[in-house]
Amino acid sequence: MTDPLVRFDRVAKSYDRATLVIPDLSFEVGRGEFLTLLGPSGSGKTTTLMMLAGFEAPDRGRILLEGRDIVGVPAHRRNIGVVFQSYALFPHLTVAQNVAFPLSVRGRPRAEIAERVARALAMVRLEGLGDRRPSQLSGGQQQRVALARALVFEPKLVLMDEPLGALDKQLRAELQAEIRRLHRELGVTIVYVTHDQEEALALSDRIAVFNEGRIRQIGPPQALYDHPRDPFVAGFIGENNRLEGEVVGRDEDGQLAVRLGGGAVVRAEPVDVAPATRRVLLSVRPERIALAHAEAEDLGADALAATVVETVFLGDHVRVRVRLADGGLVTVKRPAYALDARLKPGARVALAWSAEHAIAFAADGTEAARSPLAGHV
Amino acid sequence: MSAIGRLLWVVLAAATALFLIAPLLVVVPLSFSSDSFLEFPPPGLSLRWYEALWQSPFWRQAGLNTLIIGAAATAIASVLGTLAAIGLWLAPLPGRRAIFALILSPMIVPVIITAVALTFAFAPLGLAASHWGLILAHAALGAPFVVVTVLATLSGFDRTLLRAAAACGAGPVTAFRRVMLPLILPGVVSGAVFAFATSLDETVVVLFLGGPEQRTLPRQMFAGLKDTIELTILAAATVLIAASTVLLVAARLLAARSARLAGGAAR
Ligand SMILES: Nc1ncnc2c1ncn2[C@@H]1O[C@H](COP(=O)(O)OP(=O)(O)OP(=O)(O)O)[C@@H](O)[C@H]1O
Ligand SMILES: [Mg+2]
Repeated sequence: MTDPLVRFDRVAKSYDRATLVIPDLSFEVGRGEFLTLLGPSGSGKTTTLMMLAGFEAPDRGRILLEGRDIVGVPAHRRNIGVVFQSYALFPHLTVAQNVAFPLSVRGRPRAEIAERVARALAMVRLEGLGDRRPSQLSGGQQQRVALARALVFEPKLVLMDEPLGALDKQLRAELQAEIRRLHRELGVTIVYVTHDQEEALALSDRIAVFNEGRIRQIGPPQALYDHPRDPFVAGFIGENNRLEGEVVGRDEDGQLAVRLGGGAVVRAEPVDVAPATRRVLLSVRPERIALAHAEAEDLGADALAATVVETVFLGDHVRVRVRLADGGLVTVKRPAYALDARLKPGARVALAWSAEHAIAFAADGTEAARSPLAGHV
Repeated sequence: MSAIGRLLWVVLAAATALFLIAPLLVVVPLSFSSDSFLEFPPPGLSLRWYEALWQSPFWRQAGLNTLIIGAAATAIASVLGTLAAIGLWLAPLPGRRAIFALILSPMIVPVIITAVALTFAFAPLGLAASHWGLILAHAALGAPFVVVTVLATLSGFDRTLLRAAAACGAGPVTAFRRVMLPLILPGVVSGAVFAFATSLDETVVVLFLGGPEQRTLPRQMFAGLKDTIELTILAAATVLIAASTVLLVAARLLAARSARLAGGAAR
């Protein structure tokens, strides 16, 4: 990335001087980019964001903003907008005074403040509510005020820590659209934290998947969804069937033949699977699996035999849970309109997927990999 | 609760209340007596003792001293108490409890001990028998109230607001002045009222530390009782009672107003 807006350079952070919450973190945020930090609870997303905002100091490493190391710069001089999950509106000020706060702190003239506050309130569709107090607004409206307050002084960078976490599903979708629109229209760079993978997929230019203080993978949503680098990323983004198996062969274009527990052999695309690896973990998205009643069509020689456990109708799609010969459960997602009416619990079915949609990760630790039998089959 | 239980409860509560306000029921009517005897009920009503109070240069000086010392001590106690409370609230745990106990000690240690200690400590500094000595002493006695009330308000204060202020570009001083102070003001005000009330009726330290120039109302009343039984004392007492009542009511109203402005968020 040429000339990034933000660069983390080998940053380490510990709260108690004993355990490193962030052991060694490096990444960049491009100008105008929407980067989401996604990860489970406690993975260090907030810590990373707070170091960027200036509320926590790294123990080691540099944080560059437009090429300048800002580690020693106090938060109030960084000129970065921040939106907090708890809104953090000033309860003793009106909505308009809240939005005016960053401008009045910067000593802008009254007329200019009034004009820019009005524009900011219009931008988040809160015209006419300027005289209310935050306590007189709904949660969604309060978060809009917080957005306006973070954007009104036109910072180049805005940070948001689970800003929609406290809202219900519908409001969340509405505000997601709003945030996308603001990002598009203002061209501002946004670093966004969430542990909701759908939200991350919907909003981001790129997603950084965090786990235990490290970035496991960073890239555009679709790349992460289609080509996860490891089982953690595969499991964290989107839904996922996991099947354990044993490598029984490898063809010339690199695809693996994998024998599942029940004895059936399927083909899969390896990701970082060393030649010596024996045990693998297959990851298959539910919507990539073809499903047919055993007597209906032939899904080919590779097809797996299974029995329907239940079908759940969800409006636009149906989730079919099936049990494989080895007892493993697999979820299949099919469009509701295309469902075979014979797929009742107990019905015998065949499953199939194309090899590139079954991703194989090495599952044996070092032990099996070093076993004399490995790669021998 | 049974009917008898309820009755018992009401009687007990009424008796307690009566016990607490009985002195007022005697002192206030007697101060309006037209006679100069401690006779209850008073034979007739008049304002003669209030007139005597107003016209006596001793009493007027005592009233003035009380106001000056009270106001200055309250100002010092409020500023220092508020800063101490914020420090305790922000500080990480170790040492925090010990410092808190130390700050509260004037509330717990018998006043007479504080008075003796201050007398010895202040004499070499030239602060004995001076207004400043009494002001500092009363500030020390009043500051714990401010610390306690401000800490109570701070427990409802959302720390994220300080981060939000910083993210808006406000430095620590601006953030304190424009975000924190308005929200903790009810605590500061009620602490200040307690501090002022403490100074208003403080007698022991004044007896030890005050010279003839530092006669305050309680001191003057004490002296008056020894000389002659004069009902002027009761008029002075009534004035003190009225002042305390006004202060407490004002503090409550102010606190309620700030809480309303803060939308209940600061409690
Ligand atoms: N102020 C703090 N003092 C001590 N430890 C902390 C502090 N803040 C966070 N931690 C620890 O650092 C780790 C990372 O926390 P962080 O808040 O960055 O995670 P997160 O990814 O934001 O999680 P969540 O999704 O739950 O918000 C956790 O193990 C947490 O317990
Ligand atoms: Mg967090």
